[in-house]
Amino acid sequence: MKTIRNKIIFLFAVIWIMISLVWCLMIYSNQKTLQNYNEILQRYMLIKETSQLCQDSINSLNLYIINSDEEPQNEYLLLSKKLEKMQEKLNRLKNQNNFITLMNFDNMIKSQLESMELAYLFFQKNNDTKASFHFNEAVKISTFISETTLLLINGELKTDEHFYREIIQQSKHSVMLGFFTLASISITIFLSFFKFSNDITRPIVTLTHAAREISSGNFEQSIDIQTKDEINFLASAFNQMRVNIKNLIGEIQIKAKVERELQEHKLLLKESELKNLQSQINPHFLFNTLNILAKKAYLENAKETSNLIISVSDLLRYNIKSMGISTTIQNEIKGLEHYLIIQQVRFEERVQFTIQVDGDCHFFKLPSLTLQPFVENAIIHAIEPFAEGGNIAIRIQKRGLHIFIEIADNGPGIPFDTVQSILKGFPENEYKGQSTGIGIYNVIRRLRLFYGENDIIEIKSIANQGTCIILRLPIQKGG
Amino acid sequence: MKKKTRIMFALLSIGGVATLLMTSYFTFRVVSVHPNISYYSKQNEKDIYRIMFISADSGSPFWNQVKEGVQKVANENKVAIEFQETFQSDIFGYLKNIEKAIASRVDGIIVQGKEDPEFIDIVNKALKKGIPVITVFTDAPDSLRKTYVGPNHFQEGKIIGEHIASQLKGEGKIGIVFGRPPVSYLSLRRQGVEYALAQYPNIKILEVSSNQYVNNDSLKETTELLNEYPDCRALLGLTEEATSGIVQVIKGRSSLQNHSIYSFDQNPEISAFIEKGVVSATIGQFPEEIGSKSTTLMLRWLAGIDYPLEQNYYTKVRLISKR
Repeated sequence: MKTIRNKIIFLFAVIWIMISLVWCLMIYSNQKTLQNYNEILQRYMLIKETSQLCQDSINSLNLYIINSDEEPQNEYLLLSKKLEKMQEKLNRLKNQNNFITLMNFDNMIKSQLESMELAYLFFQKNNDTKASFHFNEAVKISTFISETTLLLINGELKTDEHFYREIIQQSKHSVMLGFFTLASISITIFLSFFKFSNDITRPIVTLTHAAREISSGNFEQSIDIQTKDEINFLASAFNQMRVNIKNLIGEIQIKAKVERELQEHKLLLKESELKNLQSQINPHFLFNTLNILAKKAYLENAKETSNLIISVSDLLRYNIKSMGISTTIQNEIKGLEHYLIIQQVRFEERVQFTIQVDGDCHFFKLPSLTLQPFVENAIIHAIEPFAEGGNIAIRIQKRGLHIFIEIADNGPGIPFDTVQSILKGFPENEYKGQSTGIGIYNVIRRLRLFYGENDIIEIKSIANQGTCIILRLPIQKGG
Repeated sequence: MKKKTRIMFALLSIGGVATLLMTSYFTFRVVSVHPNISYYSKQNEKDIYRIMFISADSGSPFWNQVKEGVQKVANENKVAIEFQETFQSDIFGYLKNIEKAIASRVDGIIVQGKEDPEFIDIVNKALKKGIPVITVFTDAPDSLRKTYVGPNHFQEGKIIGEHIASQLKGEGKIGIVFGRPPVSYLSLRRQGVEYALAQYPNIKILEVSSNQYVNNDSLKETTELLNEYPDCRALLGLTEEATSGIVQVIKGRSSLQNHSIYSFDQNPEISAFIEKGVVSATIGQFPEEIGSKSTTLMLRWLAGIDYPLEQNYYTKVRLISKR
């Protein structure tokens, strides 16, 4: 994970590596130059030393010849030994340009050594003339040697001129390298710090902004941070929190709505219960009275009247008993038939009822007094006003996962506005049924609550042709 | 604000890239260049002959051509040749160079001969140390030099003498200017001229009463000669210096057209004189031949092919006159 800590470590590591690389480079080039200088100096020193040895050995020989002392004699012997050794070292200096001069130099030293040796030997044999001749020869050669030394050194300068120029050039380049490295490191560090600080601060700014939004109650703005560090973690946690809060608030709102609807439902129940209570004492008295009336009519041989009174009594009983509970389609149809018998007596030939129930629908559960208000409504609007009367057809069938209940009439139809207001539900405009006192709106509300679905009713109405109300009740919910 | 920052950033990035490039360039320059002191790779240089070429006339075109000839042969045979040159007046330095060559134990010495006793001593000393010496252009016959390579000066004199005789048509006066102390090769030239003119009794050789002018003043010598013999119309310079002295003096005294001038040797000045017609004829040598011949002989001697060498190896000479 690219944490902020890692980023900082990485940045410093890069800087450290760059600086140490440059340092190594500088040291390396310096070291190389130094080595070269050392080599040059060593060459010069070797040449100079050799020349000096020639000079010194001849001086000591001179001293010996003058003083015939032990000390200069030993010194002479030592120096000439050294000189011989030095000759071997000279070979190292050889290059294409100076090797002839170097060979000359070498031979001159040999000549000098020889002459000195001869001078030394003749002196020891007390042959002074020859000794001094050879000594003079040696001195002469010694001057040649000093001249050749200069020549050699001059040759060094000339041969290695290219080399010296390269060294100078290289040291210039080193300086330039130093400057450019400083510049590039500075820029790199500046840029990376810029980027780095941006990387850290930008998500924080975004986060701050998001926090402000959320605190002001706007949960919609998603927090989008692309980095891969701790800030990203923080941001995603924050985002999660935002989503959670949003969801919670949504849930609370839904719950509140459900609560309100429940309250309404309860109120409806209360209302019907109240009505129920209002008619609690009366029903027994009414039923008894109606039964007496039915027996009386029977005794008086008015069978038709007797049956009618029994129907009224049963209808009343059903209405009062089943208020507020669910029932089956079979019971509902039974209640509806009592009502229809009464209406049949009232309208006689003016009204035709047909009830058709599919066999497998009898035990489907639905709230009681669902059908009666619709039928009552149809009678009031489609039959009552017209002398010629009309038809009312009730069909209950099962289709797929739903029970379809159709209540059709051939009345004048319902105006479109009214249909809409029924579907949307405006209780104040409602017509309340005569028999049950329950309005269509009330029925629709009850159905919706009972089945937990909104799409439960459909009204097809064509002017002067008829109205068909279709109830679509889901099986799994109700049954 | 934002845009400004971005531009700054871009500029800095470009700058960073540029400096990085420069850095890598200089790193490359610093790391890749390895200046090294040059060392001699061949180890068997002991087999190479070292020959010292010593001349006493530094910078003269004649000797430069001789050197070219020497160098050519040296290159062909992979011989290390060293040139040691001094100016004409520096006799001491010249002798010292030979001594140095001896002290350096070179394999051979090629040198312009002198008739100096000191020179002869030194040449003999070299021989004693086993170093062969070849004289070129001028000889030192008394020394123990191995051989002489160069023109036959007597022959030179003869050629110019015959030319002068034919130009003078058998009669007249010819003034000879030495321009230098009469060293042996000049005497040889003079003898050659004399020998050639001996057949023509009507031609008279005129000279300044010699011993008087042992310096190098050719101007004085010419003036003296012309003062002594005002009717002398033909003049011969035995050296380049003598010729240039003659030309200057005649220019100063009268017209060049009235005089015919003859010369020995060849240098740019004399070539120009020939071209202008101021100098009628000169004797030219082949300096390259001298150089190459002497070096070849030295190598042959060192290799033991020609042993002993002949006394003299004469090189070609030619008469140069304006066509």
